[in-house]
Amino acid sequence: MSMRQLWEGTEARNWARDINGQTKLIILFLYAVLMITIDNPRSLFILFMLTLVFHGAAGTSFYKWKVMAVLLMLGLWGSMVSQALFFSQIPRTPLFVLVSPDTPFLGAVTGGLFVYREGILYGAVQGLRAATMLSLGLLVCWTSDPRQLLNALLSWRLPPQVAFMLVTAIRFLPVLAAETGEIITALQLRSDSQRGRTAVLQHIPYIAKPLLARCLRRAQTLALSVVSRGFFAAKGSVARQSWKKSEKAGCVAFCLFTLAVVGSKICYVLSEQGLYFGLLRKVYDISKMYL
Amino acid sequence: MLLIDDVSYRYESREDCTIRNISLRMEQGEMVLLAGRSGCGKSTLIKIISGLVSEDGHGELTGRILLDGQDITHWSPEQIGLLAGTVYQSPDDQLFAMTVEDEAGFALENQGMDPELIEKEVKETLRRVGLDGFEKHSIHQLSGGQRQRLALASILITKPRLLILDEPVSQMNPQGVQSFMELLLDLNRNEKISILMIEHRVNELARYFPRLAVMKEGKIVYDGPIEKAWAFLTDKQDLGLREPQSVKLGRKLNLSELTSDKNKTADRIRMECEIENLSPRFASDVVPGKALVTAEHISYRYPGMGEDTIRDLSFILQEGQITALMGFNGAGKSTLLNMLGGLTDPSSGRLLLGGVPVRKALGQVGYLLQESDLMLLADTVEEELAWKNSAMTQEKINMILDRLHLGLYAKDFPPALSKGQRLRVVLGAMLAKEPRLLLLDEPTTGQDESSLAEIQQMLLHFKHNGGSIFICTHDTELASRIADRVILLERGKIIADGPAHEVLTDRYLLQQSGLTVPAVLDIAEALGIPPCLTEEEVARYVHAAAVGRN
Amino acid sequence: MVNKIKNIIILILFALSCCALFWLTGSRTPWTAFPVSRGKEGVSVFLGDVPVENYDRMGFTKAQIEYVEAEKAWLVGTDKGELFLIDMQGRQLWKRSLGIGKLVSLAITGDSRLAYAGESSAEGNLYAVNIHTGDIEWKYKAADFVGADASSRSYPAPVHIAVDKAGNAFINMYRFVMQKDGSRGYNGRMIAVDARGGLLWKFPKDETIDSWINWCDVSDKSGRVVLATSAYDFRPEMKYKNTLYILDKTNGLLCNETFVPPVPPFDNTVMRGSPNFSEDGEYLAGTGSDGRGFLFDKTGKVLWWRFLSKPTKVDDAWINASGRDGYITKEGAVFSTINTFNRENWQLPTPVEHPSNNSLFVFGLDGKFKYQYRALGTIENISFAPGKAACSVGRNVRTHNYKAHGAVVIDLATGKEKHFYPTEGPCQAVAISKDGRWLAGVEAPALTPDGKLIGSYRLHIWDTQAGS
Repeated sequence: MSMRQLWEGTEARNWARDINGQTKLIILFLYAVLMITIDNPRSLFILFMLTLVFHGAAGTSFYKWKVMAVLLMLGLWGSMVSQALFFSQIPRTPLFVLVSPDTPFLGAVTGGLFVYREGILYGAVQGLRAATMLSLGLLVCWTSDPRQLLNALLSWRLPPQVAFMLVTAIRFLPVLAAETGEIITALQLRSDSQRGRTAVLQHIPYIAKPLLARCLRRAQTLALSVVSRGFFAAKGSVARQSWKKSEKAGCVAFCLFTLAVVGSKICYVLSEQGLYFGLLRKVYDISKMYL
Repeated sequence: MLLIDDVSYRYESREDCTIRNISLRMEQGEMVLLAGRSGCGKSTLIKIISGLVSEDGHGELTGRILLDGQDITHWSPEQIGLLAGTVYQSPDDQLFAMTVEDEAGFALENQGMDPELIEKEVKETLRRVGLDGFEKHSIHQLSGGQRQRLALASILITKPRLLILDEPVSQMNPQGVQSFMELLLDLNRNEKISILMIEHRVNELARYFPRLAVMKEGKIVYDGPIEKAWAFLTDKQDLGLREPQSVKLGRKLNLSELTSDKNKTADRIRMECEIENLSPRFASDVVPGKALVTAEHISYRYPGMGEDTIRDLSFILQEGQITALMGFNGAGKSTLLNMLGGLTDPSSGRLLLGGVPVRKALGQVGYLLQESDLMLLADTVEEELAWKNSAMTQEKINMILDRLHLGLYAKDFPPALSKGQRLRVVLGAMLAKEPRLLLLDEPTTGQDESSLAEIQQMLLHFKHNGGSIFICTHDTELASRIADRVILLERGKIIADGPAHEVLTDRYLLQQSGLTVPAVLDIAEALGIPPCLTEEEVARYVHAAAVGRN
Repeated sequence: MVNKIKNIIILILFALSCCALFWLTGSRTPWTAFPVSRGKEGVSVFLGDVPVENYDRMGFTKAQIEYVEAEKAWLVGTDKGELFLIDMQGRQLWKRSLGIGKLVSLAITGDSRLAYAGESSAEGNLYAVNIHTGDIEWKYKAADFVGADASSRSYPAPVHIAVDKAGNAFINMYRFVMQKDGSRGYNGRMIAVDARGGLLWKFPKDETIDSWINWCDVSDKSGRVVLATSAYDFRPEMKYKNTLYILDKTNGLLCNETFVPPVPPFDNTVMRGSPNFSEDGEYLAGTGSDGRGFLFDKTGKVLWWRFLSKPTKVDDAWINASGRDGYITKEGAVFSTINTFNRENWQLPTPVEHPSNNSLFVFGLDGKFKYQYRALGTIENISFAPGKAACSVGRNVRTHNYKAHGAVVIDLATGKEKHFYPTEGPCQAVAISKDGRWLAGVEAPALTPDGKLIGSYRLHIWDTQAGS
């Protein structure tokens, strides 16, 4: 599978592709809200695992699983390791001493380097938030035609220009991925060292400019193309895919659930600040236990 | 149908007009080829017709444009889009949806048409462009040619009266061009759609267009029948048009009439020139040199593929030679080039450069990608030449700039140069590293005549200095001019490997490999002289007309 | 083949990462990332960030803890103005942010329904909080009783609360006053409030006490309330010069008052953490800052007194270990002393530790010495269960023995240490469950003189039966 195919959304199972863009965006948005709202590590973990279940159900290919696994692991472990080392909140419990404060020079400079227990957990929480959204975002990308999302945004009365800009990013993902690969190849070919001809990482800092230049040019052409096809003067784009009642109901239910979560979290936070109502203790308890 | 009446346009940021007093009239069902060098104003003219510059309101537009009798000068692009559709150079950039049917139906959706009607129209339009049955396909599953057809379908679905095409075939191989042009001809004949195409590959398109308009510095300097254009274009190399080989031959032989028609040219030569019955003088064998690259039974299979793309190839590339690698798309040319460039390793077999595996001698290989623009990485041309090249000095840079004819652009931003200049910058940077082997992937795509000549010159200079070149191309004209040796590849196997003249004059081999038979070869055959590939070769057997054109 | 293996390895690593996350996020304490850590003998719960105080400073981070039998939980008031109800497993049942001031006093009613919490703030609120729900049922402002003049330096606060069986609260409202001219003074008043928030009486009725009143206690049996004065800055013109004032708990009328003559080198007798009534209301035990332990009868008459720590002159400096707490238990009268101090200035070094400092002394009601238990740091407070006394052991500013910090349980009959639970930072408050099984202590963070940060603001809950 090529880099370009990796970002295409056409090989997913039909049911996932057939879900209306509005449903997908609403779920994505509400999930994001939940990710921000929820602090409970286990709840975050469950929500994360749920996105993986969605991937399984949508028939994400083996190759995509592999790529996603690498991205997710980088995020999760990166977050955990960095927080484990540099966790600054209190209390913090050192699990291991990497550099003792007594170590000459390094110890004095760093003040000691420890692996903190609380840091690992904090990193896991932050990592789970990012990983969940990455996983769900990839799922939406891999199961959606940009048109679906565009129709969804337009049906929410978003100005076509803005909707177009948002969706173009997804439309260009496959192209962008392919171009990134090509630019790295170009950089390898222009390298003067034997190592530079095969390395990838050392070229990454130089990718941005050529990639940006090409993207700008491509985006301009795309904009011209859609303008002349009457996109910005659309009389009300026809949603060729109707928004099923069952999906609507699902969205409403998920929305209510999210509102309840957010509401109870707000109540809890307010109670922490002094706006406390004993009647709501159950709500506070739920927030404490699960959110 | 289309009347451009004394139109001038000046961009807000510029002092001079980019388009100056242009007038052009197209009748319903007419096909016009608009040519000119990069930066002559062709794209601006398209934007003006499409309403994309009047819309921004920042420039200064004078004159008027009538389409179907209606003054569209100040219409919005959307309104104009209903009458005139535009197809751009790269289909990747203009396709928006992920599936073929969504892309094709996009314009109608924007008009708020009923979904059932859209479906019907999409089916019908895809049939017209030869994509029926592809409705549910991903746009990325289509080949380059199919994507360009889809781009065309996405425009045709609104039934425009005028079709504007901006270099739509510049990235295509000869078969692709032919197939696409036949489609356009069908549309033109059957549906009376007017077609305005911008392209400087006039050599390949001349036979499809009865009328040519040539632009230079914002003005139309020629507008008339294409066959009468050749005389006008004599001594006007600065227009950068790549003329048909038969025209160039006619000019070389000083024929009284220049024509893109091979048979007419042959007739004219017979009438006006003296043909000498000489035996061929060119060397029939490639002079054996020192082996540079040795390929021993190399094969390559892409992961997940059922069969090899490169199959058990063995060959030797000699030092100081230009070898052209030619063949159909998908024959494995780029894969072989990638292996030589060290980007991929053979699945089996050995590939050696100077006796060591290519992977360990990458510093001796320069590789110019087909999309050479990707290789522009620096902010100025000077920096570009010195990029990651510690041996580069200012003196050397100046010398290269002179040789590239880019001295005036030393401080310019490379991506802002013309296409030919951009290619020359990258090529210059490659050559500056003095590689033993230079790999080139379709270096002439989209290049105009003068650019082509300069590139040829640079490559020959490199060769004469002991460099070896391995060039992958569809351009038989280029190969015949510079290659010492040609390797023809078909489905991963070598079907011909020999001196360039020998291989390129084998009509059967050329057709088998999907290459264009050079016009000069046909003319030579018609004249009964030994097979020729270039005008110069013909001129050796044919004495120029004594009484020719004035 | 190699690629396939690589791919499978990546997916296996991913699966293992998910398992690791499952394990990491499987904390048995669901709320927030890391409030509770578990050890062999109990749990600790982080109570939030508080400013870290210097180890040697006079005033130090505090906390209030009460055991709530009905909820089987700990009620914790913090310096952040927050009130927590935390169960034995360290789970937070509720948390109330009461205000912006420190919580300086805490008491609960016998039926565990209401908690009275006093806050040191501009208003000096007294809150009555429903222990089950966390709701504030009513509140009073100390400022209404002892003034709130902005030009005066300190905040008013309900500094101590005593509760009778009916749930009525008897509160010492107090503020220290420093005028612009530098003159110092005290404003104190006791108020009595019923469980519904009705004001029963004030003492004095129409004025404030011109002395520091830091402690009070109530007895249902004798129907008396006692309050002690603690004015270090003793002046002849003061109106309330006596040491104890004993009031009728029903109407706040003064029944008895006692002046306890001072012993040199002290100018007056100060009781800061006592006296307290005996269960039958017949006796009162009090400890003076001068190092004496007293047993009074219910009228305030001194039955006997003993030197717990006799002020001693060493190298021309009077050193002393002040007495603080005084309780009467079945095992006898319990008194405590704190750190060794230089009489001249609290912060001046002392050449030696007083041998009676940081100790618990138990005497029979007849005045017979039973034993002295000496801790290695200051006994910050004492909480009692049948046969047991739990003490929080805080700083020792003389020896800087950080290993002294912790909670200790003493067998009251023998004075033997039954359990010691060390804490990293000073243990500033402790409470023990009614059955004596559970112990809770609050540890405070401190910045040591050599610049090290020790401890954090957290609640420890220990099970004395763990591992047994």
